[in-house]
Amino acid sequence: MHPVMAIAWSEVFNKDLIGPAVRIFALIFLGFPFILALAALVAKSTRRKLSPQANMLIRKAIIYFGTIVIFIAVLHQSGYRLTALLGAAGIAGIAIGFASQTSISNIISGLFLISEKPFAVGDVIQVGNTKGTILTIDLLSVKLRTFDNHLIRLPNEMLIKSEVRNITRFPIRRLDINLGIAYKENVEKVRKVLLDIAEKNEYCLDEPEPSVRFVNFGESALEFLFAVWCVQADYLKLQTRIMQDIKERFDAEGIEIPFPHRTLYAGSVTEPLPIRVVDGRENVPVENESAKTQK
Amino acid sequence: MEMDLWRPHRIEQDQCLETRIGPLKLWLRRNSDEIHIAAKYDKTTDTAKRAYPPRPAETQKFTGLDWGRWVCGDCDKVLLRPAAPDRPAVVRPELPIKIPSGQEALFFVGVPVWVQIGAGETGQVRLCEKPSVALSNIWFGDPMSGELCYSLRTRARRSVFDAQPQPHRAVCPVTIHNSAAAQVDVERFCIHVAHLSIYPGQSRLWTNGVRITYKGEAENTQLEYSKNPPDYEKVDAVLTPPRTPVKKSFSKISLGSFAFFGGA
Repeated sequence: MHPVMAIAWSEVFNKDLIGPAVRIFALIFLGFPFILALAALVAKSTRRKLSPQANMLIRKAIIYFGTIVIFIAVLHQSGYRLTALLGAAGIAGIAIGFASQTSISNIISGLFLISEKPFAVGDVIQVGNTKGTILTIDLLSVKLRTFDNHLIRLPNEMLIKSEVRNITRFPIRRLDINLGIAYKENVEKVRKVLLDIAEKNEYCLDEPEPSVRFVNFGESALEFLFAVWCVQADYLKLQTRIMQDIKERFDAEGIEIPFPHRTLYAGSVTEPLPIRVVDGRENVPVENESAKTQK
Repeated sequence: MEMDLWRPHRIEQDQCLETRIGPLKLWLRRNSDEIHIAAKYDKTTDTAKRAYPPRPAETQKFTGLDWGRWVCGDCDKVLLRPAAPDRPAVVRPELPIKIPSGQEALFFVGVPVWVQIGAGETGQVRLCEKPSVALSNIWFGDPMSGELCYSLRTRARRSVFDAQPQPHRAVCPVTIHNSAAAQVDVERFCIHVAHLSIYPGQSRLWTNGVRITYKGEAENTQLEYSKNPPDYEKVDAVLTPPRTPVKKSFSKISLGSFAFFGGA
């Protein structure tokens, strides 16, 4: 007889084995679809009541918990002694716990972030030097899309510890422009010109009103803070347009924006500083009258 | 008043029509099954009072226009309709008005109209709409939960017939009643213009009236949008219905969005 034929099929299809095998099959092929369907159903029913993050959390919790239950049930049906397994799992749990401190910290931080709601999917946030739009808020991390189209993963633990700036939480926003004006300029004229620029700019809101604050006597300039408001969506357009408007209008009005400079005084007792006049031809020094006289 | 503006106008194949509604100049050109539309604003003050219905024009001399194209099928007519602005308007009188307790005052506010452009006898194919004047934006309410509105500087006239009619503005009669114990300083108020219908009058366009009842700083401000045409001048049937009809004759609005601001 062929060796294969020698298998004792009666032993393979033993009554004691068929029952657990069917149950394992049912647990895997009916249990997982059931868990997925249950998670989807719960997520759908709570979609309007809960935030997207809380919704995602509930869905994942159902899937993870259900998977663990199925896994334990399958082991049980396979004849493993769960008490021994759980004892081993306890020892392994300590080892895994030490090894996965960061992950657990991230998960707990994620739960705090979801309950605190400092931001939501779609918000633009800034953490340190990183700025971008939130794509997902997961249990371990928050994923951002930067404006140059990079994906950045920020661990939840880091977000809990850091200062997070939510740029788009409120519908309107202020643009602050620091300006330096030459000391010779008339402050009142500068103020009027800036307010007129704001009034004529289509992205600038009439209220909250634009403001011009004279903040400091700087080293090289009178320093102003020009603050204008706009709706979130217009921020970049306003920034680009109003900067150009300021430059063009200041040029037209003859208002000088000085570059940093120093004025050197030689003192009243000293001779005036020597001046060398250079003509435009080949930068050849031209002697001044006093030099000619000395010759 | 130039009422011919708001009637259907025939547009032949490859013809260009030109029209003006106050500062807004419009060009409409028919090309096969398309209507091409261009708009331009004239900011000089004297043109604000001018208007003329669509008339044939040569497009060649209007270079630099920003044209848009709309597919409208076999349409040989175009219809212009005045409509209320698409966002609420914050009315800011040039001089703040003080209303003592128990008094009420009627103001006539000129609301710039949006021009809806449609194809067909009744304008059934909606093409686009253009504001008759470019308005600046203003935020009404607190910076966290207010709403974006158009800013409307007005003289808030007490008698409408003192002013020359402007073809691009519809006159909105606003009654402010102070039922609070203290005097109220009206520096600005917000009208949800989406609830306004436009009526053609003898000399100008009109909207239904608005009644604002101020009950005090801690109370809600009540707003009532009239469902009847104004009776300050004989008006015809409604020209344009409101964008959002008022469900109740009366609406109670929260203090945050409709409060009279005490100061800047």
